Amino acid sequence: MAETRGVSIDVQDLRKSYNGVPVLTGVDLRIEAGEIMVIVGGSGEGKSVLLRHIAGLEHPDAGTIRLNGLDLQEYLHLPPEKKPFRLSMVFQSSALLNSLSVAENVSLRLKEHRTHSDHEIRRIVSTCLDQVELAGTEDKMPSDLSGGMRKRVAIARALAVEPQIILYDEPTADLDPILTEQIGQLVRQIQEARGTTQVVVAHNLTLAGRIGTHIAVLHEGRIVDYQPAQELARSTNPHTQEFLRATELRVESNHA
Amino acid sequence: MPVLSDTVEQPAERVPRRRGVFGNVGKSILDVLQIMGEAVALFVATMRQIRLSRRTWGRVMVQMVRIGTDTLPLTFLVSLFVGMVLVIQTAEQLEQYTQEILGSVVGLAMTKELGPVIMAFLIAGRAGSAIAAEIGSMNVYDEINALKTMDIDPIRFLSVPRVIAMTVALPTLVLYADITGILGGAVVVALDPAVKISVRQYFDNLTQWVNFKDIVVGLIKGMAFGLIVSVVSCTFGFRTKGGAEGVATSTTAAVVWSFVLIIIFDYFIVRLAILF
Repeated sequence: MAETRGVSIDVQDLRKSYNGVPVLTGVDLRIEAGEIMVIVGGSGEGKSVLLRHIAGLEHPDAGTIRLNGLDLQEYLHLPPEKKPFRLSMVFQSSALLNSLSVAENVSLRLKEHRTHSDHEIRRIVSTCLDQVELAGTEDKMPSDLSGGMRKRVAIARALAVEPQIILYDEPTADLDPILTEQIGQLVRQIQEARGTTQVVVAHNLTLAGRIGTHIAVLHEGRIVDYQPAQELARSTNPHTQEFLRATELRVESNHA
Repeated sequence: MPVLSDTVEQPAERVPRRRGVFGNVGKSILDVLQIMGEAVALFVATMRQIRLSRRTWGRVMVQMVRIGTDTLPLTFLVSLFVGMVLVIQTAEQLEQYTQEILGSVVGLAMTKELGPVIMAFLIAGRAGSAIAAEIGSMNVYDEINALKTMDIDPIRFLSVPRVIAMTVALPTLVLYADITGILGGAVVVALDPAVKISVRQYFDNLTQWVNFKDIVVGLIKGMAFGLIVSVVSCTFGFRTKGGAEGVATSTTAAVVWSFVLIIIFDYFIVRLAILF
């Protein structure tokens, strides 16, 4: 597979309300090409909503999102073959199509847009499944897979189109610590091998610190802290501190 | 670098207002108009997305099997007994006059009304509900959003094959139901001692009165009902929100709306058919 490089994401003053309740209250965030940005925050703070805006699945009330300088709305309206780069998303529920096999799920976009020959598609599917350590599962149906395997198939599906941006919505939710670690390693490997820009929404600060280039803390619809991953523990921001304390407590209670 | 903020504007507290009777009626009317608008928009979008590609026809065939072929045993059973009931009921009523018109009664009732309407109800309950539940679940579990992020149009991928398949399958099932119902009637004529005419008389009278136009109007109804059920089911599938409960609500609503619209459009198609 050809080497892909990431593109930058620029979010400016993004605002969104649902039924009059503000969820995003002015998000400003710059994600550099090729970095892994982990967005953390409590439940209901707007992390997934922010990610869905970047994916173009939601329309903001105000604000702009630019991908490599190109306005997101402009990007979304381009026909697939004219898009200068590709964006993939890994959903919290994996969102595999249950009526299709693993191979059909992974190759869906390639087949629909007829960009590759059948032989090439088979090779890409095999490479992507290899990369997520699921070789040999091509003919299985999603219902035959465990939660962790489904998540990895979703990542393989995202990789199949050689995207320049991959968005992950809680990729480790409901997974045990070993699978969480595996997914984290996979995200890191993708960055090292392809330089893809990756945005990960997560609750897990330990994972965030291990895989992220930068970490942004979202609170009440705004970015309240932004740190290089290694410096997060030294942050003086009260929300980050609160989050760090909660994580430590959880680790301690797990050890006890 | 992001602009950081520790302070966030607090949203003004919203006091929920109670709606009165007029408010509730108004909201219901707006909801109905909203659904109708969405259904029309989906119909237009589906028609625009129809492409004669091999991939589309492959998906249409899959749906044809699910909607048509898989429904054949049920169709057979239902229409057979409808024809049988029709003969036994009518024979009793006509005992004092003449039972010779039984063939035309069954033939006209099956081809013009019962065949199309009963098949449409059957398909709405069986395949329409399945479509609404399937698309609804896909919506709830982000599968439709996944299609969007893959630059795959959900209308082209999901709605087009289902609408084509149902619009083609339903008239075919109507024809099958017409034949089965008429044969069911013939079985009762042959076996029930309360019916005093022969099977030959039954078919002679039927062929004398049922003409080509009656069959064609029945098939046109089948196509129209197929279109209605598929568009309504897809509409409710796409507007599903809120987990398993939302899927259940959408499925029920799709079936109820389909039933109501089938009856309403039935009247208008009959009215038009009488004009021509």
